[in-house]
Amino acid sequence: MKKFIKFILASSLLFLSGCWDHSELTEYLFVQSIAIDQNKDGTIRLTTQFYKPAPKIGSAGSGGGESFFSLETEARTLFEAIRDVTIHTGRKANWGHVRFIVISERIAKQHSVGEVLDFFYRDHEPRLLTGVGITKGTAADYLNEKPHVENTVSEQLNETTKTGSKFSAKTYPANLFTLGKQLHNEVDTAYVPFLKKEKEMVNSIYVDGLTILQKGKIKTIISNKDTKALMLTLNEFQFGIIEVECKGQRPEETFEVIEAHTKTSLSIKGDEIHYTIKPKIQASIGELECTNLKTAPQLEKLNERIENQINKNITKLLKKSQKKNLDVIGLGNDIYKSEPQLWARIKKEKIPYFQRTVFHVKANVNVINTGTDISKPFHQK
Amino acid sequence: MRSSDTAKIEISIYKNLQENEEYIRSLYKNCDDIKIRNFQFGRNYKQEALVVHCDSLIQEEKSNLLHTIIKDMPDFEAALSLSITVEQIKNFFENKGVSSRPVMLLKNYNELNANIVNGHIVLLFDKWNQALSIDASSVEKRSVAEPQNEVVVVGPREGTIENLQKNLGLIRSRLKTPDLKFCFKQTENKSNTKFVYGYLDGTVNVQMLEEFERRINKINKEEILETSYIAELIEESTITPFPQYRFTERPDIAAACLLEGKIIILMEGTGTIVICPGLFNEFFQSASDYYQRSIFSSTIRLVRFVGFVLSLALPSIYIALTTFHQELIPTVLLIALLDTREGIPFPALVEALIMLFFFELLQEAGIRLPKPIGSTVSIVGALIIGEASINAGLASPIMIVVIGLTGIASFSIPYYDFGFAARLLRIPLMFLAAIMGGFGLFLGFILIFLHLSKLRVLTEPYLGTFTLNSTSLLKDGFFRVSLKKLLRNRNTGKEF
Repeated sequence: MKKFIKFILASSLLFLSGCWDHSELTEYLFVQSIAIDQNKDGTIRLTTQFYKPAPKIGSAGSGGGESFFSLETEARTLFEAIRDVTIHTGRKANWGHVRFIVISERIAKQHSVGEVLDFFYRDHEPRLLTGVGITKGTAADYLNEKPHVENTVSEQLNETTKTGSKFSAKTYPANLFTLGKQLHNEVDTAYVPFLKKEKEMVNSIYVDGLTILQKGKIKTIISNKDTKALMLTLNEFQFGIIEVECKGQRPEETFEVIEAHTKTSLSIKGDEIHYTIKPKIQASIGELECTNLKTAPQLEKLNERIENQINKNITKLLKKSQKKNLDVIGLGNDIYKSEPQLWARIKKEKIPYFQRTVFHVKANVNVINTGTDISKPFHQK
Repeated sequence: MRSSDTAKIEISIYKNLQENEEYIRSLYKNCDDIKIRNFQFGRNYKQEALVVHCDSLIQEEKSNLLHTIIKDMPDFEAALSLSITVEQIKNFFENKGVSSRPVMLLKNYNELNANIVNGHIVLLFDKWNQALSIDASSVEKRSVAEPQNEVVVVGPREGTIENLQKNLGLIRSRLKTPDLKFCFKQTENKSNTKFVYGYLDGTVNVQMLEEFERRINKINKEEILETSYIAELIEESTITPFPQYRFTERPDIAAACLLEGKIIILMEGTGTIVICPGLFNEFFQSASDYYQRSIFSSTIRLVRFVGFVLSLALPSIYIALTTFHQELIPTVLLIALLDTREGIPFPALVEALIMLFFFELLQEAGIRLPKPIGSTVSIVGALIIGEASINAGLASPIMIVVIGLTGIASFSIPYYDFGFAARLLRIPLMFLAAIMGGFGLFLGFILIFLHLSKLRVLTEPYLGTFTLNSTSLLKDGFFRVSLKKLLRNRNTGKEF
């Protein structure tokens, strides 16, 4: 009897433990991507894209239908709109496999992105590595595009922002994690890729630079070229191309960055903030137009030319931002870390510290590879 | 009980040949393969005798040898073979005279019966209350051949046969030492099975041997037709799915096991050798492991361990992932799964059970069928049923992959009956996974592990090789280290 009671107690541990969320795959609808728009009356329009399984039973499954469908729900809050999904579909929505969230430029200008995405940080299902992008125009339109290669457009968006940032450094691979982290910094400068699409063309989504958010709202949108300079400053540059002008001539020479590390240092001299940015770059020659590399001094000269170009690019970006007094590189965070008292004062007195900072950009470039051709332009005999 | 009556006839042989003949004829009534013949010999054919033998156990030419014995014998005793008398024969054999063939003297019917059914020719003479017995047994046996179930690439091709003496010879020829002991035992009933257990004195664990002998001595009356009977009669737990003894038909494996301190059991009439005790990780070892280079054997052995885990848990992992932990599946794989699962009318568990049942059915049918048709089953099974059940919407392609892989994985284990343990435990694990997901799966693993830890085989813990102070696991467990290190461990402690 005692043994029996023990057995009952032991087995109740199993059945009362709460591990009881059995659901077959066919009971779920898997959300692939979400588009968040705002109506003119201020309500939120949520477009949820689901994966639509194509049963491969016999010959019936061979019909090439679309592999996804979208659902639009409108409500005053995002969570309300999300819950409205269930009244449209018979299946439970599963948010564990959301690949991408697109937010329209309009909503990101008026509301804080953190506020809009609160649900995705709070709920246990969505992953923090879900990609985020801000779109020009209505976000929902982006989900209705057909993907080039991937199964769904959300997968494509996820890949373009990731590989685009890795191999061309023309954007930043923002996801819920990076965004959340940046929104909680002292200076909450956050970077989210900016997506564009041609109105008349199909399948024309592309990444066009970066939106810079502060306090969760869009402050500015920078171009692809400026994004490269920004990535270099932030030490986020992995691979990419640097274009260098030939003297007076239009054609440009290109160099591929193989390795880039940027060291930054902050120093306070009296009332002035000095910020030194030292990108160290290993590059290989991509295209040559007006350079001959036969001797060591010639190589030195080339290195110098690329360094000057990089310095120019970075300085240009910083000057532009200083004009707008937008701490685009999150300088405030560095000040907060190394000079907390100064930062407290800046915060209290609302000093335009970024405008007053003196930047020193000193790139160090080393061309280590000429490619499989000799060190002169190919067309020269 | 009648059976025990006939087995124990303590009646001594009569002096009168007439009485003897009557008694033997009544004993072997309706046994048409027992031949009973009268014959006369000596001067004027006045000496009477009776010859009894089992026709089916004796070759014809050997029964002719009998006549040469009788012919040979008088040369020692009497000058003229023609004048031989029973007195002289009696005198000759009672004084242990030497003849060209070994001859035994029998005193009672118990011995007489045993000799006849073992293929001896028994001679009874008038006025002599003893019988002569000459071994002439010869039953047709197949010759030594490579065992079909334990094929190796490199290594001896000898396998045991159904003859006990030959088998013992095969093992003895590999271990030429007086330390190798073979103890004969015989059951007493209808089958009167003769079986042997052998061990290597000095190597075998004495406590284990005592326990083994205590158990084996309990086997007296049981009818034993195969060595696996003995294994089951002396095994620890009959309900555990894990086998506690290994079976082999290779004398080289038997010899290797003796060297490791195991006890082996052989039996007349079967080639299966029982090796006891069989511990958990020994079921992952194959003879070829030691005949191939250690780096190769080690890799293959890891494959077998993975195969065992797959065979045990793959369907349940699949069920747990798809019904509880969808977030653990990579998105791209999930999309593929969604496509295949859509439209399947059953839950994952039922689907898996159906396909597993199909697989078991095919496997069983494949064993039963004669070889030429056997291949048809695999074609019908794999191609038609598999393909058709996908088309019919009974199962998803991914499930076919899962079940197929599970089935194949269970064949990677060298010992068929150990693979059966995985086959049995798979089903409860699947139910646990379907009820409680990964939590249930691990619960199942814990229960299996607890059971294994508790299991003992002949005083040895079943997982004994997994303990920390056991170096054998490192040397010959998950890996097979080089023979230099392995043999050093076993013998002198010095490396070659």
